[in-house]
Amino acid sequence: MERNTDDMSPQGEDNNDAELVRAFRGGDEAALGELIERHRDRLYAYLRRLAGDGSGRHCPQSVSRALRVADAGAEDMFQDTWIKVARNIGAYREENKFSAWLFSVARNTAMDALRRRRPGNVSLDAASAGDTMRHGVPVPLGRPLAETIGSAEPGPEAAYEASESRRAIDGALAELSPEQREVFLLRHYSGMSFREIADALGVPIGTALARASRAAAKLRDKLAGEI
Amino acid sequence: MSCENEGKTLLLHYGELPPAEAAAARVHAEACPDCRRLLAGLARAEALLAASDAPAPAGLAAAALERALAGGQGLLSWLFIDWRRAAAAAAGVMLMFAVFRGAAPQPRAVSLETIEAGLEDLEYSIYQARVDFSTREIQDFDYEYADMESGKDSV
Repeated sequence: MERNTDDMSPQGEDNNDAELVRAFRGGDEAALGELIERHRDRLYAYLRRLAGDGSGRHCPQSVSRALRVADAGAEDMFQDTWIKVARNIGAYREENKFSAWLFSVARNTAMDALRRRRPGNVSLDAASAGDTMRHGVPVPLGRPLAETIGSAEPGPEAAYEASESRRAIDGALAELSPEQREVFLLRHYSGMSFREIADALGVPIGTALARASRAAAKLRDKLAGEI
Repeated sequence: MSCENEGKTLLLHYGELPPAEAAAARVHAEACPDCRRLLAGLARAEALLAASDAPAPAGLAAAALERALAGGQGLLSWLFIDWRRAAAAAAGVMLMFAVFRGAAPQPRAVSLETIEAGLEDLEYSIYQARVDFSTREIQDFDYEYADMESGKDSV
């Protein structure tokens, strides 16, 4: 099916999403692939933050290992989110932005996964064995050197800076209350307005704004002097 | 101590204010130390997020598509894949039905053993239905369809 989904303005992107959703509902499976591609990086980045959720904060020597566990968790959440989207696409109402609905699904998926994980289901000790479980199948946490050489990945210095930035921001995010973190990350990654976030969370918009402003104040205090 | 205009400053930062309100909010934010602190905190956090975000791993989108297409089969698959959840929901409905039905003429106590026995029966019947569903042949469906068609004609 011929589709014009090149309009990259915010309004155009919403219209393109709606068109892809209609196509997928009509049986066009490739349209779902396009939706996944369009939201891939932002959704993955959002889930990676949620999956991190303070990983390694109290165990600095295990930070890089904990971050790898978080990345594997984010990959699972990403896939589970799209399974739920495909399964419940009939429940999406076109008068709402698709991205707002998608991130609400992702948030709920992440909350479920984190609740299951809390009692200690994913431990750093398990990671130290070199493997973690994904869909019941063990997967290696690290990637073979051959896969990273010559790839588009950043060099050692850039990778070090990125990992230091991640350590700093993840540490600061971990100091926020779950409610503050939730509003801040949703606003940053999803492009949802505060009104849409308030609706998704079932709170008044003033509450969403108050959580975001407290989050910003705490982040500023925590990040003062970092890096 | 925080400024009571922080909400508007946040909306300004994220571009959610209409132009007329945005101009006034900008003037306020530049003069207010609390709002300047707020904006500085946001800018710092956003810079660190941007510096440490990583693109999704290669192949993740394709894997997600494959799993989504395999798993997105609607209510029937939800019931059969997660039959414990279905059993719990059905048991809840049955329990409510039993309670309300018993409460009308005279309250009737439902023992824990009765509920547990009912739950076990229900779980077993759902398990059985799941097994039946996975082992049935297409002819079974054809037969039932023909049966329904003939039933419709006789009505």
